[in-house]
Amino acid sequence: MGTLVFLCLGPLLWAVQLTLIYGPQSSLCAYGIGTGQGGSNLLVAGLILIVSALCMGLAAAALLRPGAAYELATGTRPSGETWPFLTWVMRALAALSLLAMLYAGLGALLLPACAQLR
Amino acid sequence: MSDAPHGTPRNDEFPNSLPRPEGELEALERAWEMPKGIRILTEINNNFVGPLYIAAAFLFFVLAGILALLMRTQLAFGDNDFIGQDLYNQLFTVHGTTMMFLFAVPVVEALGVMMLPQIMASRDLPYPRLSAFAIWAYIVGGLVFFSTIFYDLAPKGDWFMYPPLTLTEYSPGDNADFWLLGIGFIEISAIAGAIEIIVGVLRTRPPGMTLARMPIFAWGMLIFASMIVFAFPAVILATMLLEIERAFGWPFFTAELGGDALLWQHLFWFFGHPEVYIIFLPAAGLVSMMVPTMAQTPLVGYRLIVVALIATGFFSFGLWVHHMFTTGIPALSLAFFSAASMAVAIPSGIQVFSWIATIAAGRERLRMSVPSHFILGFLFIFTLGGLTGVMVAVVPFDFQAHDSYFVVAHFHYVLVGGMVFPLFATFYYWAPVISSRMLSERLGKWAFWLMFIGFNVTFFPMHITGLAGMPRRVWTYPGNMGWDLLNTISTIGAFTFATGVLVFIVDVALNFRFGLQGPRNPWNAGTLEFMPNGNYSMRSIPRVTSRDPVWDNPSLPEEIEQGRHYLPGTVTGGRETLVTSPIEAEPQYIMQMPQPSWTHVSAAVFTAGFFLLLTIKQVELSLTCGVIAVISFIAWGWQLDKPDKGMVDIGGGIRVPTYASGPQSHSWWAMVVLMLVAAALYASYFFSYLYLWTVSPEVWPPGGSPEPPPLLYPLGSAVLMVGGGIAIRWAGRRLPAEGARSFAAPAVLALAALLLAGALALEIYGHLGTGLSPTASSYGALVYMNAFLVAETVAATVVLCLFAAARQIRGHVDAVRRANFDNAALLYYYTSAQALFGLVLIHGFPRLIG
Amino acid sequence: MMRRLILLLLILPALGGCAGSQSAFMPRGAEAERIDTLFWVMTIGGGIIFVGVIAITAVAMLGGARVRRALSSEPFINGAGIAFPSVVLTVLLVYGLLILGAGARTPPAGDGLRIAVSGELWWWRVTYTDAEGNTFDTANELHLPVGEPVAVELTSADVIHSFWAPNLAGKLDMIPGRTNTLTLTATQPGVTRGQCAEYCGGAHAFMSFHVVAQPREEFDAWMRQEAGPAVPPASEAAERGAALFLSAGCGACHAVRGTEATGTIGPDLTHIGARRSIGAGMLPNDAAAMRQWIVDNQHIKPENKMPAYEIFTEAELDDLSAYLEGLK
Repeated sequence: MGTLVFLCLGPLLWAVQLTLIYGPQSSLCAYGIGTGQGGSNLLVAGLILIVSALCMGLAAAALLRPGAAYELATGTRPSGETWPFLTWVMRALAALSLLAMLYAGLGALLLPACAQLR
Repeated sequence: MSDAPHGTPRNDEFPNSLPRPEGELEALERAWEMPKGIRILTEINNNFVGPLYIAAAFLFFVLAGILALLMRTQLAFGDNDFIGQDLYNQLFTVHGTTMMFLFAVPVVEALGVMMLPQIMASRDLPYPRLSAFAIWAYIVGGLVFFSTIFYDLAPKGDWFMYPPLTLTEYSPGDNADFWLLGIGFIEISAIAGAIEIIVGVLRTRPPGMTLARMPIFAWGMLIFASMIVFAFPAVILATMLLEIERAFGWPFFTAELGGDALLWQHLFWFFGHPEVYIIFLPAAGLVSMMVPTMAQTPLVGYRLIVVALIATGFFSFGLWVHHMFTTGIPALSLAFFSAASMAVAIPSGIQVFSWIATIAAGRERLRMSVPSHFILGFLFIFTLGGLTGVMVAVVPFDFQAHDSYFVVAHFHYVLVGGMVFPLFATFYYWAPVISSRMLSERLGKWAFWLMFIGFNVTFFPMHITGLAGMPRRVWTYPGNMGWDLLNTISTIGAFTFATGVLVFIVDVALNFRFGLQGPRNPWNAGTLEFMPNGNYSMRSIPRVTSRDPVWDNPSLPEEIEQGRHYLPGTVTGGRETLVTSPIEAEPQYIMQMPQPSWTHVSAAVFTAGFFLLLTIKQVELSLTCGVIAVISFIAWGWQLDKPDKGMVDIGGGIRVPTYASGPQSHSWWAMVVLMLVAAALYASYFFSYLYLWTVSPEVWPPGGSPEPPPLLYPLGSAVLMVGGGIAIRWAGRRLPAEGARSFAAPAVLALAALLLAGALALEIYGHLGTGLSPTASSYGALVYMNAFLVAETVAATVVLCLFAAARQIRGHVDAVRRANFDNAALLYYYTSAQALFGLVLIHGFPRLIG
Repeated sequence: MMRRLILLLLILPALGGCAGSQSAFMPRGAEAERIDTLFWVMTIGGGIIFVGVIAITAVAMLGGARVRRALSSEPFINGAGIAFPSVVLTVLLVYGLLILGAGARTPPAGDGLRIAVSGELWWWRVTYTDAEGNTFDTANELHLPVGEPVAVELTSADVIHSFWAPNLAGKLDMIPGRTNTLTLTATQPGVTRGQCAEYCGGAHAFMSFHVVAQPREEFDAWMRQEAGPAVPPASEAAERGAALFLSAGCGACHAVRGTEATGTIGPDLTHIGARRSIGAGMLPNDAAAMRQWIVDNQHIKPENKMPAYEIFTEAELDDLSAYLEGLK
């Protein structure tokens, strides 16, 4: 189980990022907390950027230090003949997730946070 | 454990030497012999239930296809009245529902059930009776559901059943209930299959088949099944909420009482979008099996494909709002999901180019057999569908394309291209595994060209029809809109496609002969599925040292058949299989497997009866069926957990136990996956609670509803549950020695079950005392829904605890043979943890915001 | 030029009919124009990529040994399957978001005009409110001043509907308990058609409407006309029809402003004679169609909420339709 978590660290962080940006964004916008002119909301935009940076930082760390990430996820040291394969897959997934997280965060820079825009 | 022999072993390096002892093969055959006559229905082996499952799914494909032809005939030209409005609305609902729930998911699951044991050289998947149950439940439930179209009882809310249209006010009658109960029930059967596949892939691989050497189809099935575990609970919860609102008026979706129609869409599409990839990923896995064989070269980019499959599995869960771009939610929310839709396109690109690279890598040119035709057709269609998928992922374009015929074209390109074409390739490719004759190359090519041309003629024009303004789900259209010619072309194409399918059916009728002794490795594949097999799968289980073991060792088929590899007979005297570790696939223990029986058949039939009779409000009959089903389940469970037979030798100096408990045992794994399902269901509820609060905070206490009961109530519930948990933990440490009996542990289990039920009763009593009504507002409905969900898990836990207690009293549970007790305890801990979380939510949240 | 050519090839079949009356290919609104450009950019780009993939596959199958060897490596997959799509998708995502953001730059005109459309089973209630707060109802027809952004408030009275006038803009759903606002900017005068795009049960296929984009003066004249009460019956037949309309109970569901008919269940009929269709786009609006609708509407539009009135004599039907057609 721990190994599977290790393998999927990147996409898991992506899931955390999506939850943490979509949840607060829709609730804060629904209540109109912090919403200003034209549906812009600096609180929400800031939150999205901070969460994105944080999750991307963690994914990048896992990408660079897979051994440490493995110990964190499983509590044991990496071993076995499958280790090179697992590391490779984990790092490639982390790289793809970095791109996905970048995409998700991008909207906050280009669009007002709470406007319907129709 | 022995060292893995690398390369082609010399004769003295085989795990088992020749000649094999007399009677070994006969004993193996006896253990796995198929029952004769009517008792064949009791068979649970994958070689019987697998083909049955595929045949049933294919039947639904043909039936739903016939509905499509009726619809295409109606739409052939404008102002047509071949089929009336009401029937047409039922037709497209049943077409979509059948294709998605009764064909696409089951047929893929069926391929997994049938083929995984062959590919992984295991005797069978770990819970054969569970998959047999799922299949019977699906066949009975599916046939009854489909037949509603003949009695004007079919649902007509389309396959996504959006409320409020599907609430009683706008959909009176039982039609919608057939969808909710019938399909909800089939979803449960899909989850049962998923548990089987996850544990099967992770634990019943041959020695040496590490994750790095696992065939891509097994990867695809593993991710497919994991996605079902997380996606299906969302739609099961949605179905429950809608059925409860229809039957009892709890307003989850009614805006005036604090509900919201969009809640359904969130839950439904949280299932519905991953569903597309749930269907596609195993098909992609199939293509990754066939392309290397047809090119006679190892797959190029194996690890990239694994990455692509896992990434798709995850990212597809971040796409659901993709279907809600036109609901008017803030643009930035849409942007998040547009971004994920872009991100999910990259893994598909990886796979397409890996296949192309593999084709290029072949020593010779790609063999143009029927499977190759279907694969190339798939590449063509799926690439186009993928590109239009990127188009609809761009939010503003989707404003136009959404719910128009453009989308109809797009998703048929993705689903038919991405799944049906690979499936037909597979039919031709894998037929020799279960047929003593190959299917015809000539008829196959006819079938392919008719289907390929027919498909494109049908669906390509629909891109234009849609943007020319034709919406989906219209039973007719005015003849002066300029849509006639396009529609006529589509209709001609549909009949061409159907002719292709007909040719395939003729081919099967002429050439398919059920039998396990087909041509040997006719395509010269590198993987294990074409090895000589019997009902027991392979005679002996080889150690796998590469991704294409048969190419590395061409004499492997003979060695397997002679019994030179591991486990050449039956060591426990009955059905059994070798369980290996999940990552490195090292042998761990021999799992004793169940024999054929009627219990799962009656459990399936009566579970189906329970749901379907409930649908037509025959409550007494329905409950009777439910009781018989529960008795069947108990009788079934009683036969499991066979006693330890000591250490056994499987060859090569490897001795393994015949019993396992705790985190190593297969039943512990099934329980953990089941808990993940339950947790996903509860997480969907948690989302619904918070979501409805953001939509309608005015119905929450203190303003809109009575305040929650005093804290003494939840504290009391918590104390009862925690007390029960401590008692179980205490009893777990004091199970009697092997073979001995004890009455203390059963008493503790019964007591714990009682405490759990008490905690639930106290919770409900507390809310009733405040005057809170489940029908007054969405808040009240959610509070009682929490109790309802807890009640479900509590009921399961109580049954399991009492079952374990009874087994103990009969002397079937002790300190060694303790899987029964451990499972009950595990479920108890889970149920209490979920209930405690619920108490914090239900009693804490209103206080926090109030 | 290229665009027009492909367009012609693609929708040649469609040109036979009364093309463009309800089509995203013929944009006559600001949003529809932006999306049209986006569509062509993506279609041409996607078409090139598609042809490229097919060509590479053909080379992988049929090419010479050297070129096949070049295609059979992980670097090729990394380039064609990861790097290339990442670049294309990043560009497309940003472009798509910018077009989405463009919606923010067209704030609705400040003259106080408000239009609300409510989706009902299976027709459209349209409510206009002018700057002074005067309000009137009409049905199944939306009039817009050309060149001015107008905010349309979309709501639903029952189930989910979706407002789709493809020539003007993309669709936006009408969801019970919610109000969605769609800004429409008609760029050319003319009549186009729209239709409900979210399946709403029963007669979903028959829930259409017309959008009439008019120059400002024409629009103002139309507003003045519509805001007023019904014109009195102009002929004897029409007078008999007016009396019959009230005595037969039509007023329980329909309103004719200035008379005793004040029902709000069905469409407001005050100026029914001036509209383009009967039954939400089902029939052209003339006396014969009106007769047919009254008697036979359950065949023309099954399951609609108006009962079929088979009680009237031929003469009575003539009178009723004369009255209703006179309500210009």
